[in-house]
Amino acid sequence: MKANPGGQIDLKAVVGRDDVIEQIWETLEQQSIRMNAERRIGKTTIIKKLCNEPKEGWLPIFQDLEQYHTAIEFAASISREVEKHLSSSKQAAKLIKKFLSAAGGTEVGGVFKLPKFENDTPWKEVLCDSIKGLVEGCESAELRPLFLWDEVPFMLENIKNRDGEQVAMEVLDTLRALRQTYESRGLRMILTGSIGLHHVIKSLKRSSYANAPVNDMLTVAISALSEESAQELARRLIEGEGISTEYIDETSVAVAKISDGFPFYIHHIIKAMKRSGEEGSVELVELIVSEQLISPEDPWELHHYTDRVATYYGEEHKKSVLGILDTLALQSDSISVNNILTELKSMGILDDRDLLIELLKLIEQDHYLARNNEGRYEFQFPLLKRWWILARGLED
Amino acid sequence: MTLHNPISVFTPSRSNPEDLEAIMVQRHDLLTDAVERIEESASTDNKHHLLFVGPRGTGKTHLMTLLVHRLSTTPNLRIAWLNEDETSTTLIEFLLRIYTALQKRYPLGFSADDVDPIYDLPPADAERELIQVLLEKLQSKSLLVVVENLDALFEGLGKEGQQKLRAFIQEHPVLSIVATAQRLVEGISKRSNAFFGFFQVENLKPLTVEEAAELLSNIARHREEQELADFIQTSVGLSRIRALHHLSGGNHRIYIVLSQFITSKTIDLLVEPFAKMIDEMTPYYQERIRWLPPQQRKIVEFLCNVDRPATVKQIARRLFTSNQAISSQLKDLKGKGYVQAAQRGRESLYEITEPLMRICVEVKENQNSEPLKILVDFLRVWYDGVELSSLLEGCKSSNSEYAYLKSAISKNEEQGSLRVKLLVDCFRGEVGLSEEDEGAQLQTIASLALIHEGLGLGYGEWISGQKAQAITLIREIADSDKLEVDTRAFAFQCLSLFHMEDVNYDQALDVLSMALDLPLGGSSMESSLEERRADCYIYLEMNKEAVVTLTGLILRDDISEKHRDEYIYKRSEVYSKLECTELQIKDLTFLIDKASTSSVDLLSRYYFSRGHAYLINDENNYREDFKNLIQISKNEACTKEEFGVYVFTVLVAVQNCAWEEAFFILKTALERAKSSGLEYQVLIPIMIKGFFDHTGGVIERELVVQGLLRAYSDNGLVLELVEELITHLGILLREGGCLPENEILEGWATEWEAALSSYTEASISLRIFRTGIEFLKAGGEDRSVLLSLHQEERRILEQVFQLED
Repeated sequence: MKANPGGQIDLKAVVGRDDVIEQIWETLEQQSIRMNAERRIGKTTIIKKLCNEPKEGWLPIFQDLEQYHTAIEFAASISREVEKHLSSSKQAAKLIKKFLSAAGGTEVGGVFKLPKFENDTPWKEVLCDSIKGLVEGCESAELRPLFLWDEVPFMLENIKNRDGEQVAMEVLDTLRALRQTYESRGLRMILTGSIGLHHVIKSLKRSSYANAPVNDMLTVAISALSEESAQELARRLIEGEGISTEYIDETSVAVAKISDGFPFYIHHIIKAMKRSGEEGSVELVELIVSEQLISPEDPWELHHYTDRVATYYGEEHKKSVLGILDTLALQSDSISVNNILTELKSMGILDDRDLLIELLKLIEQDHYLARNNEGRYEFQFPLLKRWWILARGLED
Repeated sequence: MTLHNPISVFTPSRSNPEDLEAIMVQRHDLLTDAVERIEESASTDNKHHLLFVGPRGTGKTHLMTLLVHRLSTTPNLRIAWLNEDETSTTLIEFLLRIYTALQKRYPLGFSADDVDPIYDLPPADAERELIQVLLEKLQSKSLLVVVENLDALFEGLGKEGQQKLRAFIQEHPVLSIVATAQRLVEGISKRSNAFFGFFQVENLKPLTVEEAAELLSNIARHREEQELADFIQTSVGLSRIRALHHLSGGNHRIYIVLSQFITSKTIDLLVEPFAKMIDEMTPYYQERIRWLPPQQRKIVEFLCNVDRPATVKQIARRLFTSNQAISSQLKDLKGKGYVQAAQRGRESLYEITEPLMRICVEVKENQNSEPLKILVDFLRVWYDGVELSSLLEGCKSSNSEYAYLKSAISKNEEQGSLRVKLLVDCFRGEVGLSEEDEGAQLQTIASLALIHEGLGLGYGEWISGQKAQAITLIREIADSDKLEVDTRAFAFQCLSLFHMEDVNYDQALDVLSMALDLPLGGSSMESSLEERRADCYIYLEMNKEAVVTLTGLILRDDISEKHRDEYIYKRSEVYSKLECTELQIKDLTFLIDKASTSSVDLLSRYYFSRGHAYLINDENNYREDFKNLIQISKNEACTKEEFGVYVFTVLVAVQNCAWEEAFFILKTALERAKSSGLEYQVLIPIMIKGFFDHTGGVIERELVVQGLLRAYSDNGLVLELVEELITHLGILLREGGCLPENEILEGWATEWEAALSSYTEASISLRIFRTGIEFLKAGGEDRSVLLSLHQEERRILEQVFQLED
């Protein structure tokens, strides 16, 4: 297999995710899942693998939701998926017939023509009835429907922009209600996305949205690959690229370590090694990473970590967040909340302990930081820390 | 390979792919890598998406054409190469373009009839239906979509369209995209956008000089012009390309256009495609500039109109604004890809990134029927003055060619040879000399380049340290019987200089002999060569041969009197080495009698040399000569000869114990030297030695020390005196034989310490002097004595005593 940073990975060649996939299937026995992870860690690959290789008794339906910009578009897509997945079930036929009469579609010679969904068709009704039909249809086939939804936050943002915040909130609430109604009958959902769902919900909360629409879902954190799996992935890619090396083990170990186990970075490093034409070695790995971290073209897209601060935390907190991260970047070890506060106070950046704790929580959710058992904070990913120091000019 | 197929400048996709393969440079590995990845996409579920980014004219379409060509027979793959001039504003439009492209390529598999029904459906349904048809028709094969100007596509689709496209790709993992773009757009580079991180991005680089030369060579070979192909790869050819590179900025397209001209030598083949290229691109660049904030626009327009990269200061000055403001704007422009920076020493120089932008803006600014400046410059680089004139003669005045040639000749007359200028620029900063010395060397390069480009280039290589290359190049010129005799003779002369500099006088002589074997017809070149040969004889101490050669030169009719006098003087020096004092005196007498009294420098030299010769011959006439020397020099700056006479006189006085006379002359000498800024120090230790050697007892020593101190302090040179005392210690150690007795050394040191005790500024130097004395007292071998000094001070004595590390 060749290195393919950013592309679609052959699901048969996915490395190191068997455990988390197993964990997900186990969890789904009980409840729906909200998948939380830093970008580029392989969430989409995981849910696609879940869809491609379902456990017995499940009917997985994968959808990339960013393409939908209104609630009715979303609901209509569910309706079409239901149509696709249920054959000649009576329930499905009844459902379609109902829609036909409600939405003015035409039945011609026993061939159903899908109704035209106008924007004033009640999307909630479409959504709820489609899910109901799916659940009932699956029950008769002794299957459980599993929606694997990618880029949920993008869709919510789109709906918020087009239909308004109220509708976006209602979509979340409706999905929750559907889960609660049909969970005992096997319905499950996995929600995931490139930006944190918590940011979307937070932005809705600013418009006095008080609900907790995903608190019924278990948050499954997708971590970076284990050291072993990262090494295996690196090795396979080195071999797949035909990179000449006498030190494949050492090189794979070096790649795994320096990449913090992110498949995306592993792919990037191996590709850069191939393009260099040099023999694979630990030194080459270090050289490549050093070059990529300071490259003005930012091939690893790390500038996002600085660029997004204002968007995620608001202009009013930008300085504080940058100050927190700068402070942590300069620590060789984890640091307590009190010490962080002391540092920020001395710099005149922040002196509100409660606000600091709140920001730390958000920053942790966004995977900049990790908190250990003693409650001390440090950068979650050494690679990110290394880059942060360079990007922010914090080196000596 | 089909012969003489034209390489399409503007539509590489219309060129024969085999021809494009034959001329490709720089990107073989990149292309092979891309092909392998798409082949993997075709045979597995690992789908790669590649994006090649580069400004206009960097060869993107050339690359795409070859990629598609190489993949055209890949099993299990269908290729949809989208028309770059079309745009899409929705996903369905994009999918229809794909279908249309597939239809063109695979008419049997993709029929227009199959998609016709979708036009009756509402857009959303049509989209879904089209997707289904497309997937069915692909029959489980993978799809490669080749999209040029991805930036334009994303702009057309907008955020919503991009999201739909990405979702389509995610939900139907059957396709790979290979795309090109002129720059990274927000859709790809901004993290919140749909395609962020989606593509494996390769930034296409402009050609280096060597790659440009390779490209032009390949094209020449393709057109069966082997001689031209070979010429391009020579040092002169590369130098020519380097000059062109300055104008082209490494842009592929410009080189392809140039190649047509270079291989056919028809200026029309240069003008027309260039004009077309500019017409096509100007609106695009105008648009790009229009959207800039006003000050940035002014900076870009300024840089487009200057001939060379500019510093922040230069830009600020011309735009009547501050350096800080310009710096800040340039940073932004650099981020946007409009400008790039290069370092020259501590300063940054800025220029427009895309040479085509510069050309288009410049053309727009000078909208009249004048010949295009860049093309005129190309002609000035490609042809020398003689060639341009010859071409003009053979041209009708009604031709556009005529106007271009005339303009090129006029520009050369007004501004000097552009080819030479660019050649000199290549070496600027590489020579590693002081600014003044560099200026002189660069002038030599320019002068030689005017005789023959290769001579200038070779000399430049030599002073840049590329000696072997320089010799090879100049030797080629010297040996070429196609060149004029004078040019070859210059080349031989250059070679001889190189050899002499490398202290290979034998080789220099060989080369000069070869040069003198040329039919020089008694030209002035011949006398230059003979003079060089004489110098070689002198260095090799082949004195008799040197005299013969110099005599030959002296007797020539075609040399100036000034040269003749120089040769006579040189001969007198050689006579001195041969100990033919009478002949030496005779030559010098001739020169003295002939020289004008106003030629003080020359007369000083002659009087000194003759005086010295008289002295060697034990003749008292030397006094007269030295006296005359002092006399003629009194109103002029002190020469080293004059100072030498003073030193001599002082030494004579010292030998005769005429101390007051010695001190007086010394004081006068120092006064003269100081006021003239003469570097006299090399002679002083000899004089100090003279005083030291003739200093007997304590009283005499005190007299000498006080006298010397007076002479120096009257001229404000006390520190220099102590330095010279230290230097003299080195002579004591090195002159061989026994060191002076410790008592004498101690007395000398004590006397000086007492005399200089009130001169606090001399205390450090005095300490070094004392340590030097102790070192000599200890036998001049025990370095541990020096450890009483700090490292820097120790180093001074180590140098004086020439102690190895």
